[in-house]
Amino acid sequence: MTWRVGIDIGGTFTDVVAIDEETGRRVYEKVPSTPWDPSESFANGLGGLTEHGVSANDTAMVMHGTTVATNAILESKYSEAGLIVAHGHREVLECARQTVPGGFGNIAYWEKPPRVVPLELVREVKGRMAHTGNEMAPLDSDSVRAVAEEFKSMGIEAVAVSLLNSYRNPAHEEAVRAIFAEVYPDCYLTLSSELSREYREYERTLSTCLNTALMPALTRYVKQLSGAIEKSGGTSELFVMQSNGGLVPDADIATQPIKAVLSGPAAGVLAACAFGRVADEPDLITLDMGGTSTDICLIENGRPHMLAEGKIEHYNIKTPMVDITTLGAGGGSIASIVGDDSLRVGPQSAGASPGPAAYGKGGTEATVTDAHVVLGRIPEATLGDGSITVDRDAARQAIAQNIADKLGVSPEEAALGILRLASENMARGISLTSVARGRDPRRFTLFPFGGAGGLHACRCAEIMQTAKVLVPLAPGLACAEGLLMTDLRTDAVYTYVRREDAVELAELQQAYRSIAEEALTAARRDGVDQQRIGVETFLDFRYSSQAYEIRVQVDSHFDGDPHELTEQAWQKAIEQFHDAHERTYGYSYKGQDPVEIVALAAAGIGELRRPPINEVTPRNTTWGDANLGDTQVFFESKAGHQGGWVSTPVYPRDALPVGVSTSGPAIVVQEDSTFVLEPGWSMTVDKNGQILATRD
Amino acid sequence: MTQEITHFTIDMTPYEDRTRYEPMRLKSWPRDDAAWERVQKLKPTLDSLTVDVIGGALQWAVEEGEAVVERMARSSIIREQHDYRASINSIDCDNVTTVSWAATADPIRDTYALDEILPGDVYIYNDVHGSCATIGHLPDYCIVIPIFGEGRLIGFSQVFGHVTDVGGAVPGSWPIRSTSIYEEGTICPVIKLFNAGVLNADAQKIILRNSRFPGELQGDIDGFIACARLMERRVLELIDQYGADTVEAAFYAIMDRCENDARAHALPNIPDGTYVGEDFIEEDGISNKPIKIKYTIHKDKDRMVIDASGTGSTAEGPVNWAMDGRHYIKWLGAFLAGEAGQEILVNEGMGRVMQMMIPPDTVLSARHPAPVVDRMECMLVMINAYTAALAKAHKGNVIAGMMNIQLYGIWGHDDDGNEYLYREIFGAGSGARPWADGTDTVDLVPHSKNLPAEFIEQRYPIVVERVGLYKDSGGAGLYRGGLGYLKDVRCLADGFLSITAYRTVFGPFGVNGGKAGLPGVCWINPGTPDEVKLVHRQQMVPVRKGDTVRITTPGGGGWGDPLTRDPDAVRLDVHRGLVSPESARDDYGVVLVDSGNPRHPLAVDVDATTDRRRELAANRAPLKLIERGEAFNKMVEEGLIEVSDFDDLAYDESGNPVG
Repeated sequence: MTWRVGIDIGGTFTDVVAIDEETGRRVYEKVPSTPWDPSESFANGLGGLTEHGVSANDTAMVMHGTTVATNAILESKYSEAGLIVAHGHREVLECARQTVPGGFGNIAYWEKPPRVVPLELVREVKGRMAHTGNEMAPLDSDSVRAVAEEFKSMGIEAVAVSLLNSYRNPAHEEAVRAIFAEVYPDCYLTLSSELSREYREYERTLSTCLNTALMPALTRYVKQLSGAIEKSGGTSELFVMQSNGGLVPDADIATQPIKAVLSGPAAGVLAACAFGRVADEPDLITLDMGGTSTDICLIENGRPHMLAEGKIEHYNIKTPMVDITTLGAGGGSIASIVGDDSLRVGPQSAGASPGPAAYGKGGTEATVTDAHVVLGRIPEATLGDGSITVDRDAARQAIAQNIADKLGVSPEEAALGILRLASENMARGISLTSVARGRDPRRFTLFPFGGAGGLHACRCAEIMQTAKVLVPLAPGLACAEGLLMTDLRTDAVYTYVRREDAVELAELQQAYRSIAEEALTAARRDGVDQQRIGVETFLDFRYSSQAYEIRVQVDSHFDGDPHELTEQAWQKAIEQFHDAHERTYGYSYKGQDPVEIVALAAAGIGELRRPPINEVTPRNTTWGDANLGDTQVFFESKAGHQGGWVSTPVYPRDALPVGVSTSGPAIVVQEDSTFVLEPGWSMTVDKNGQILATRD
Repeated sequence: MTQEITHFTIDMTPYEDRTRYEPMRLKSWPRDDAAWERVQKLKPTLDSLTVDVIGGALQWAVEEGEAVVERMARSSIIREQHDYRASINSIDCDNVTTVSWAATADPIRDTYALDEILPGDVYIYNDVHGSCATIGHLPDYCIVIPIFGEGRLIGFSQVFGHVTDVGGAVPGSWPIRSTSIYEEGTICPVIKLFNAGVLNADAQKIILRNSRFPGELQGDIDGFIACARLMERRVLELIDQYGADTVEAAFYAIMDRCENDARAHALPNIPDGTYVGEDFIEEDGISNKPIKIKYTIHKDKDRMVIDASGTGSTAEGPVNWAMDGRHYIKWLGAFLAGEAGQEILVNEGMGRVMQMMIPPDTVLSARHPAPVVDRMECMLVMINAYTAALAKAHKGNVIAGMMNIQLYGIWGHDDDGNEYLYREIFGAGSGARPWADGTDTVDLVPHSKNLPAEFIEQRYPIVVERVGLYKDSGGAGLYRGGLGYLKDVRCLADGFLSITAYRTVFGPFGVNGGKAGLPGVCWINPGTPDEVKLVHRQQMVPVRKGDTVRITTPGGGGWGDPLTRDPDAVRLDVHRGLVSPESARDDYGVVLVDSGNPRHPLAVDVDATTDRRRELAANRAPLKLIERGEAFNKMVEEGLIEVSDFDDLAYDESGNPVG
C-alpha cells in the first residue's frame, strides 16, 4: 500500500500522477477527458496506471481536484432548491446588496441574473435570534413542519436554512434540522451556521443556497468516483481538494460542495508551493495559464495567500479559499479591434474548439497562440505527440486579416501588440494579487505552468520588474501533482465583534478553545498519525468602524491538543495587527485608537507525508548538444536588445544539461508546454530538473 | 417634437452671450509651459498600443487607489455605499481617467501659482462655492496631490469622498431646510494640509474639531491621502518607464479617444434634431413648490448641445447644484456613451462632443452662498429630463423613469449614552427597458451597497424587522418597472429620524404607454392607530423606543402597453408576490384563477383575460409617450405646473409609435 494517486480532470485531458510514498517514484498517465461522464476518464486513468505497475490494491489514497462545482455554478446547472429564512426577510436574495456591476450608467442596461432559489420557493418562519445570541422570539415549530411537508410534497430535493444572527447562535437552525429529520429525512439540507459563522446575511444565505443546490450533483459525483475506485479493485479512500488547498474525505464534499469551487486551480497552487520549496524559492507568484483563463496566486514563505471569502461568477462565497485571481485571458483568447484602432485581447476565447487558427481545427480568429506562432515563439513541428500540428501561414493570415490590415501594420507588429496586451493583462492580475495586498512583486519569483504560462513568464516578469522565473519539470501536470502535496485541512471561523477594551478574556478564550477543538476533531482521520495532527489559529482585526479586517496568526502547533489563548498571546496579536496595518497601508493608529476583533479562525490539519521531489539524473551534455537546431524568433526591442528576427536555439526539455547556465534567447519545448527565455535572461536547470531563469 | 432636418447644424452663437449663459467651464488653464510644444508634437506619433498600455495602467492605478479607500475609510457612507471617487488629472486639470464626478484639481490651480505647487504638497478642501464648481456639498472632502515627473509638474492625483459629519446644523451634516451654505457645516477652503511634506497640524486640528465624529473623519482623510499617494506612485512608475513627455502625450491621446469614440459610435445613433425633456424636483424643503429641470437638446452630426434654459431659478432650500456645464456632461456622458453599443471610457474628452449651456442663477448654477447639501435630487431628476428628451428622438425606445437613491438616518444615544447615527442609502426600482423589465432595488452609484441587518443590529440600537420589495411599486407595462424597497426597523432607543426622499408624491414616469412607478415615503408605526406618514424630506422627527420606522422607495416606470404584457409573466409576478391580483386585473387585464397545483397555484383564465383586456382598452384614455402618474397629472390640470409633452401620445391612430 505505498502509492498515492492524484487525478485532475481538465477540459481536454485527465491527468494522473501516482507517487510511491517510499521511494518518491512517479508514474504519469494522460487520458482524454469524458465531459459527459467524468467518472469514465477517472476510471480510465486509474486503469492506465496498472500498465505502469501501479495496481489498485497497492494504492492507499486517491486525491482528486474537480471543476464540477465550478462549472455547475458557471452554467447555472444545479438542483432546484428551497430556502427557509427568518420572518420578514423573504426577499433577501432579491434585494441582494443593491449593486449594479460595471460602470456608472450600466443601471440602464444590466439585467439581474436568475436567483439561485426563485422567490416562490422561499418560506419565512417565525422566531428570532438577537445579535447577542439571545432568543428574541421562539422558533415556531409548527410552521417549520408545514414548510417541510410542503417542500416534500412539491418534490424539492434540496433546502437551505438561513436565519438571521445564526452566526451567533445556531439553535433555531438546528431545530429546523431536527424537524426535517422527522418529516423529510431524505432532503438535502444545509444550515447557514454550519457553512459559515460570519455575519452579513445576504452573502451567507447565498452561499447556503448554492451549497444546497450543488449537493445532489456532488453527492452523485463522488459516489460515481468512489464506485470507479471500487470497480478497479481498490479499497482506497477518495479525498477531494477544497478551495482552501486542503483535502477532505469525499463525504465532506458531498455535504459541503461549495468548499470545492476552486478545487481544480487550488491544487496547482500547492504544487507551486512544493516545487518552490525544493528550489529554495518560497516566495512565488503563480501564473497558471490555460486555453481560456489564467489563474494567479501569491505564495509567501511557501504558503499561498488565503481569503476568508472569495468570489465565483457574480457570487461572493463565504468559505475560505486560496486567493486566486482569475483572468479571462489564455492561449485561446481572441484579439480584436474595438472602435477604429483600439486593440483588445479577450475575453472571448476560441477554446479547444475551434481553437487557434494555427492548430488547423477550423479557427479563423486571431488568438494569443497565433501571435506566438507568427513570431516563431512556438516552433513549427515540435509539439507533442504529433496530434497537433502548427500552421504558421494560417496564424499569419488570421492576424493579418483580423488585426494587422485594420491597423495598417505588419502581422509581426500586430502579433507583438497582442502579446504586449496579453502580458500587460497578466501583469495587471499579478499586481492585483500582490501590490493591492501590500506585497512588492519585485521580491517574488514568477512560477509559470499550464500550457501557456511559460510563453509569457519572462515578459510579465519584465513588466513587474520581477527578477526570477521558476519553471517546473512538468508544467502541464502541476495540478495533478499538487493533489499529492497537501494535507487534510478543515477551517472553522467564528464571528466575535468587540472593541479590545470590551473584550472579556474568559469569553474569548472559551471561543478560541472551542473552534480549535472543532478544527482538531475534523483533522483526526484514519491514516493520519496522531503526532501529525495540528492546528493553526488566527484572529481578524480592524480599527473600530473600518469595514475590512487583517488576519493575524496566533499559533501553530502539532501536539494534537488545543492551546489556551493567553493574555500575552492576545496582546501580541494586537501588536501584530498594528504592524501589519503599517506595512500594508503606510500608517497605523498604534497607541491612538483601540482595535476591534472581528473573528477567530482555526485550521485543523492532518499532515500527510510529502512525497520527495527527486533529483534528475545528471546528463553529460552541453547546451550545444541539446539544441535541436536554431529557429527564427521575432523579439521586441528593449533597452540593451535590438528587436527583430533572432536566430534562437530550441531545446527539448528532457535533454537539458544540469547546473550549467545559458543566455537567452532560447526556447524550451516539451509535450504540453513551451518556455520562452527572452533576450536579456539566463537560465540554469537545477538538480530537480526545474529551470531557474534570471534577468541579467 | 422631432425635427428631422437633413443638414442640421447647431447655432452656437447664442451661447456666447454671457448675460444669457454661463461659460460651459467656469475656469480653465491654457498651457504655455516649455513641455507643451513637445507633448503636442509627440502625441500624434504615439502608437495606439502605447496609449492602451498607459491608459490601462492609469485606470488600474485608480482602481487600486479606490480599493485602499474602501479598506481604510471609516465612514459607512464611504465604505459600504462607495460615495467616493478617485482620478488622475493632467496639469490643466482635465480628467484623464474615468471621471471622479465633479472633482478635479482646478481649485489648486485657482488658489496657487504654478511655482507655489511643490513636491510633497497635499491639498485639502470641501469649499463648494470656492472650488470652481468641482465639489457638490460640504461632506465631500477632497484631497489632491501634485505629480512631478522629471522635475516638472505633469498632473495631479485626486480623490474625494463623502464623510459622515462636517458639523453644521444637524448630525450627519445633511440639513434639508438650510437656506445658506453656512448652515451646512464647516467650510475648508483650498489649503495645504502638507506643505512640501510638512503636516500643518493646526489646520488638521481645526478640521477634525468641527466634526461630530472626528475619529471617522481622520480615518477617511488618511485613507484619501494613501489613495492619492498610491496613484501618484503609479504615474511615476510610468514616467520611469516611458518618460514624462510620452506619459503626458498619452494623457491627451486618451482624452482624444473618448471624444473620437463618442462622435463615431454614439452620436450617429441619435437622429439630428431638437428635443425637449423635462422633469421635476418635488420641493426644496422651504417653499412647497415643484422646480423644473428643462433640457432642450440639439443634436447634429458633430455634437450634442444641452440647453438648460427654462430650468427653475436658484432654490431657497438646499436642492441646488453649484456646478458648471462641464460637470453635468460627466454625468450625462455615461448615458450618451451607453448608446455606442461598446465600451467608451468617459473622461474630459466627452466635453468636446457633448456640451451643456446653463443660464445664470438656476437650480443647476447656484452660486455663493446658496444652500446645496441635498443637490442629489438634481442629479436624479436631470437624468430623467435627459431620458424624456431622448424618448422623443428614439420614438419611445428609451428606459423609463427612475429615482434610485433615497436615504434616511436615525440619530441618538443608546442606553449606554453612546452617540450613534444609523444612516442608510437605498436603491429603488430601475425603469423598464424596451426589451426587459426594470431591476428591483438597485442603486444608481456603482458599488453602493445596502447595510446587512446583521451589521445594523450589531452597531446600532435597531432591530431590522423586515427587508423586502415594495409590492406593486413597479410601473405597469409591457415591461414592468423594477420594485422599490420596503424596510421596517424597530428602534431600541429614543432618537430622531431624518429623511431625504425625492419621489414621495410624483412617480418615476412610464414610457410609451407604460405607467408611472409608485413614489416612496416613510411611516412611523404603520398599520397602527398612531401611524404617521412622512412625505417629502423630513428633518429630526422624534422617534421613541419601540417605534417602527418604515421606508419605501419608488418603483421604476413601466414601458409599453400593460395590456400587451405576457399574461404568464403577470401570473408569475403575482405568484411571487411582486404584483397584487388586483393590479393584475386592473392594470394588466389578467384574470387569474386557482389551479389546484401546489407548485403553480395560479393559472391564467385565458378567455376572461381577453375580455378584461378588451374592456380596459375600450375605456381608457390614449396612451401617453411619457406618463407621470396621477398626482402629477392633477397638478398640471390645476395649472400648478406645466410640462411640454403632457399631450404627446405614444401611438398614432394606426398604432405606430409617435416618438
